[in-house]
Amino acid sequence: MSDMEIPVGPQHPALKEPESFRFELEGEIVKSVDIRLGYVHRGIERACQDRTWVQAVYLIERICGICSHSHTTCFCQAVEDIAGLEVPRRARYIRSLIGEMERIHSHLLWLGLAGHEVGFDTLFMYAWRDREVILDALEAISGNRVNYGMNTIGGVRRDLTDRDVEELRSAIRILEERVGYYTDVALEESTFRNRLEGVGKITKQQAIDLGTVGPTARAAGVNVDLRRDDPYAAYDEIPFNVVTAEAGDLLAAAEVRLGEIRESIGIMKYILDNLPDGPIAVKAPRRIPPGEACSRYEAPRGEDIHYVRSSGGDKPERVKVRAPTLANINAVAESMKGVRVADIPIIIAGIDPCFSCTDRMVRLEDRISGRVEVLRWQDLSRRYRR
Amino acid sequence: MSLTDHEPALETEEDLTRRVMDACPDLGLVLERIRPRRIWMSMPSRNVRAMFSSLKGIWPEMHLSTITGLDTGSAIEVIYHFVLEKILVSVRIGLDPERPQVDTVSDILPVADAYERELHDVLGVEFSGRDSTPRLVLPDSWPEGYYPLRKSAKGGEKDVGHGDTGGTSTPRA
Repeated sequence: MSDMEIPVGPQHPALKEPESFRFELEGEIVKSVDIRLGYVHRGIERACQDRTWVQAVYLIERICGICSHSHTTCFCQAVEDIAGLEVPRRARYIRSLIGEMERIHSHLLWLGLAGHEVGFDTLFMYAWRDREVILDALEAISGNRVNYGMNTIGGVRRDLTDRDVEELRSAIRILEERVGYYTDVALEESTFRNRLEGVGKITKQQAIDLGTVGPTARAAGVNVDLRRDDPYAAYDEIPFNVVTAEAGDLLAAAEVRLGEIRESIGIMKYILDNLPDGPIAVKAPRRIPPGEACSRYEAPRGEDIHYVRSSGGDKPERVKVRAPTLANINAVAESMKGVRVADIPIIIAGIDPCFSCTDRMVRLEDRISGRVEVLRWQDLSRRYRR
Repeated sequence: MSLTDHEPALETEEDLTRRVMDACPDLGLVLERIRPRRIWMSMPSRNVRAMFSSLKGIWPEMHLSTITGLDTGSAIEVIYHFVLEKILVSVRIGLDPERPQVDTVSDILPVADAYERELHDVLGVEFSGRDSTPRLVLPDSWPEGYYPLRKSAKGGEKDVGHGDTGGTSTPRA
């Protein structure tokens, strides 16, 4: 049978974000894959150079709609390092708390999507319903379900009230029960297991060689977690376990993420029980002294790294962001080899890809005339305002 | 003698610095500063491959976190950020802004492929030794020789056309 090439994306019903895959097939089997990124590249790194330090925080929050707190924490830490700011202990605890809540809702999102991709839509609906519990709690604390705006240079912007703490405790009770149930379902339900076991497999050696990060690496037995290895926020004071698995397939990825949700719940409880009193921020100067710093953060998808340089002005000289999906995309390409076409969607979903993070301009194309325009927000609102 | 004046004691970092220096003799590696779990160094750009080969031999599990590039006005700086024994080592090289060129390390560390392509897109750094350096983040129709992170790039709205050619530009996996 002759080889066949199938393009998937950049716009495709099976992809949640625009990305292009070109599969070379032999019958039902994938021989190789071409991956093309950049469809949601918005030039955020450059845009940061034209904004003040504080404005940059808000822009960086919008790199991603899921791990927004990861990016702002990572950025603020780098700036605080350059400026020599000592973030108050209470602020560090609140950063960790929001970070773990973000991890929980991100992993529940993944679990739901994984369920959906393998035809188990009940799990998708349950997981996403219960994800609302944590989103509601985030809204109660920050005013937002996503893009919480909690971070600022020098600490956090909102304190936790006693009522927030009580609401969080009841949210934790619900989540604990539900996550226990999902762990049973996902890891024991044979239809789900059979669909994930041995699929999208990478070995530990491949994971290391390909620079894989986060749950994708831990599922293959690579024992890395920046919360332990390069502690930031309050993680040097909080006890938790790093969850790893051996198999390197998607079932192992599910095991790791479910285990991490349980650990995150444990971390949340510890933070609520041990939340120190005191201020939540120190005042940051408008101009950051010259210098450079590198900050790393264990985002829900793995290592997020920001490089920041200041030339002493009120704007960053350079901000470099490397989000975890870019490091994990090699693993996807590798694990696609030899799989069946039907496994493609779940393997792509398997690394929990976040292409907005990875690509980081509004461009519209008139499909009939083929005219391409770059629109500013003013143009957009003028054009579409009623 | 302490390599740094910083408090607290950074013995682990100092020890690793010594071992990195020992592993790469005669490569012109210079220590810039040590911070908690961070080591900053610089070296001549011609020795990058030699350094990564040596380090990979000693630390086979080394992790390349990313490669940063920036235009300082007088030079194109490239900084390799990698992890050895849980410490982030950043090694800086300076390139001629007229003709920024450095050897590829993507054959030593496969993950570098994406990072090198990104730098080629946004700063026009040439990585010699690669078969090709296809676009990663910019559309295929982006004007040649216009590098958005160069100081000379003025921004503004540019018609760069539509970039969708359906994934013709990545290496085969």
